[in-house]
Amino acid sequence: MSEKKLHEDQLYIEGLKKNDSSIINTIYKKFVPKVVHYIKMNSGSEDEAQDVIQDVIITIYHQAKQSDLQLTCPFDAYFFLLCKRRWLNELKKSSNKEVTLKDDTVSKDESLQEMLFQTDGFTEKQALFEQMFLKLGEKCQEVLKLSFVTKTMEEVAAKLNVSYAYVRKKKSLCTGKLAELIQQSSQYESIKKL
Amino acid sequence: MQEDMYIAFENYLQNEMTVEAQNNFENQLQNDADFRDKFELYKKTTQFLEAKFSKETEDFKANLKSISKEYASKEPNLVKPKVVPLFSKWYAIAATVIVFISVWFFMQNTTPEYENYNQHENAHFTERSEGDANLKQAQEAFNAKEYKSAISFFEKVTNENLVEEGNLFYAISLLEDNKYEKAEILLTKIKESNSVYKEKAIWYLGLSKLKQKKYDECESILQLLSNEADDYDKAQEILKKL
Repeated sequence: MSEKKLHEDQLYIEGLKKNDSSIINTIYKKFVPKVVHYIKMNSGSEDEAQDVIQDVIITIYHQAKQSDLQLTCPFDAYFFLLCKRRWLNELKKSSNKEVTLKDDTVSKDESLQEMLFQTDGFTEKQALFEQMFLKLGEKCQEVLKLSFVTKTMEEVAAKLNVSYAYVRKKKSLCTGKLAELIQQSSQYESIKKL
Repeated sequence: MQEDMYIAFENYLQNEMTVEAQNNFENQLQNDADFRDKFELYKKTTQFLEAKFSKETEDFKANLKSISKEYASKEPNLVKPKVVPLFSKWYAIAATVIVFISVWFFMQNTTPEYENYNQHENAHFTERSEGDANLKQAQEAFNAKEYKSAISFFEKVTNENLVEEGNLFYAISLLEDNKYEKAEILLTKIKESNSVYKEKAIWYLGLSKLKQKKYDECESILQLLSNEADDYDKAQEILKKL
């Protein structure tokens, strides 16, 4: 899509996509300590830091899987800023912690800015989908979950003790229902293109 | 109608359409923007659900969690509140030890050293004496701080010509050359005489002990110095530090 050159650090994205333990280990060795240090220096604990880091890595994983994330900037800066911003948002949310939020003047690196923008959008999209999923009825949630966890729809039907035809239809309708909820939400316009 | 549309979306995505139905579907995708938007969103929703619930994602999350734990445990663990006082105590002890060590070093450093007091006055004992050429050369060598050669000249001077003043500078040269025993014999001799160099001899005896780091002896000798002696103030300085 874009003409921008793929950064060599794309290897981290590919590694995450493949659940490659050695790549994940490298990320923890090379990039995580800096984040942990930053969060600890900013009224966070080790556990909170680890949560933020895992969230960010999972987001990158999902974006790589679903939106074919193409890294055009160094992974280091990209990863650090994602974690940093997520932590600052956490701080903002919890009212009892006072935060002086210096709006971070990120580097002027355009591709980095663009990457962060993309991931922010993707994160927003994920959050919206999650939120709408929870608005579905219990039955829909169950059918959808089983449909994707279980290998075949026959198995799903057997588990739910219903017919195959019913479960097929139910899956389509529940997915359609979820799509409708998403479309009707006020945030939909901003994430539409992602 | 909506229901049929979602079923069609699902069938299309699962590749479970007849060729004819598929053609019709694709036609509609091309020509009907609204239909296309709805289908795109349906597809994205499916992708989202797939990513959310797939075993792959579960595996990934589990793997990530275990790696994260591994690294988290390598980091210094968060100190439980109860442990904090203990840690502070040890830090306090460590700090105290460091302070003691520093003080000790400081005291070590301020221990008086011979090198701080060995600024000897120049010798001029031959102006008055007509005699020995060796004595003159000894004097020159001494003033040039060439104590070894000064010693060799002093050694050649005959006893009669080696006035008391000469003996003192001879002793100082020996002291500089670490020949304490001989130096101290000469100095003691001067000290026990009634010469004007008596106090000087005491002072240099003290310095000799100081140079040998015999601090106790140095102390007791320097205490003999009268308060009218030239070197009294310097001696007091050393005594204070000892």
